[in-house]
Amino acid sequence: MLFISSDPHEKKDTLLSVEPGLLIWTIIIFFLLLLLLKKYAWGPLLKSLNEREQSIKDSVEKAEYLKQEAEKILAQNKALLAKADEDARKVIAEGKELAEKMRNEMISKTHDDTSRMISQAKSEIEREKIGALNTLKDEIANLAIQAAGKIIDENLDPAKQKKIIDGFINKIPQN
Amino acid sequence: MTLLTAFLQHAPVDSTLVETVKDDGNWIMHHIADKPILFIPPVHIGGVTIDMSISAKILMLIVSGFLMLIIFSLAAARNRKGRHPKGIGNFVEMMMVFVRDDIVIPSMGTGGVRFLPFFFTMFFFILFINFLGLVPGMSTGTSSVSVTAGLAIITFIMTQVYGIKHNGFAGYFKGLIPPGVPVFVLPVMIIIEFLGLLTKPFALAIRLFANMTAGHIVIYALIGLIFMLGYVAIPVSIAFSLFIYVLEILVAVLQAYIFTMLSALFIGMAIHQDH
Repeated sequence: MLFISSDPHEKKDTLLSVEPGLLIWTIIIFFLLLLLLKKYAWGPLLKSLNEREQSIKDSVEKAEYLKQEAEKILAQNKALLAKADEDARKVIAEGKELAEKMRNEMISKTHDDTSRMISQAKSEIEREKIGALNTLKDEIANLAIQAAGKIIDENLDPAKQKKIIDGFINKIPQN
Repeated sequence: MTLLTAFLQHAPVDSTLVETVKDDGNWIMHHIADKPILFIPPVHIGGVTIDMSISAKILMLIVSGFLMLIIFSLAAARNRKGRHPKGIGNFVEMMMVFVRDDIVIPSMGTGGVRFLPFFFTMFFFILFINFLGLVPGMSTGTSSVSVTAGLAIITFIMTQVYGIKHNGFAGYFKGLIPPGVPVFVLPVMIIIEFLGLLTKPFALAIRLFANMTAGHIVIYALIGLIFMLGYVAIPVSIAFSLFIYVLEILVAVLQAYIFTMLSALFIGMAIHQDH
């Protein structure tokens, strides 16, 4: 206000006097500028800005989603691995048990077989021994009869004599 | 130094000027005031004659406008090409994001996004005019109260138009008065609120005008010291002028920010009257 001219006729130089022409020009220039800039600058600039912001937002969201997915898959993998481990352990344990059972069975079976074979062999030996003894008895009896016949001559009845000798041989102890 | 040369361009040093400077302060007014450049026949409306001549300040507005058109359409073209903005496109985008996230959205909420072109234009227009005024030899458009009044009237019109559009004609004026006011206070409230409508743009205009004019006047006054005190004053004058000049750069940005923010606030308040 200090600089407002003291001369009342010098209107142009007052600081606070509003010039309608200047005011109207300001408004006209502003709206023309708004119109032109909106079409040629703000529109495209805002569009590219929004598109980029959207794409960044999308990328971040996608990355977040993928991270969650990856974590889920990792957890699943871990669970699967644990389950596989458990299964393997179970299989091994079952295998061990089965092997143990089979071994025991085989051992007992072998044992049975062996004892059976031994007893078979024993009885076979017994039978052979008896047969051999019998043959030997017959042989001895015949030899004795032939010897006795030669000694006592021909009037001896061979059947009767054999019976006597058999009775005699049977009195001999088995071994 | 540029300041001084600029000043000397305006006022060639001769003995008569030194006398004028010593006699009165009107030489400062002479430099702040508008100068006619191109004559356009005046318009007569209802007995009022409106001088439509292009003056120095109007020329500054037009130059700012052209600069904005060139810079921002260039930035738009650059940003359309590549996915990653750089250089001028990046800088313009940074400023736009500043206006959007630090001025419009805090004042108006996300509903202010559709007014963004308006606020971009307002912010950058004021900023460009302010900065152009700092270029030596140029005139500051915003150091004329007519220009700032024009800008304030634009805000005022936007406020009323969008206020009425959103709340209806009756609803808007009813909403101006806070609810729960006793009936006997109503007449006073109506006058106060109506005055409030008018003082808002008035304050806008005066604030911008005063801030942009003051710095220039101080610089001129400091340089005037040289003529009044002789060459002894040169170091002090220049140092202080430089300081004020740097301060004016800050003020140029600050005032563009304040004007735009208050405009956004007023328009936002007119749309959402419930707070």
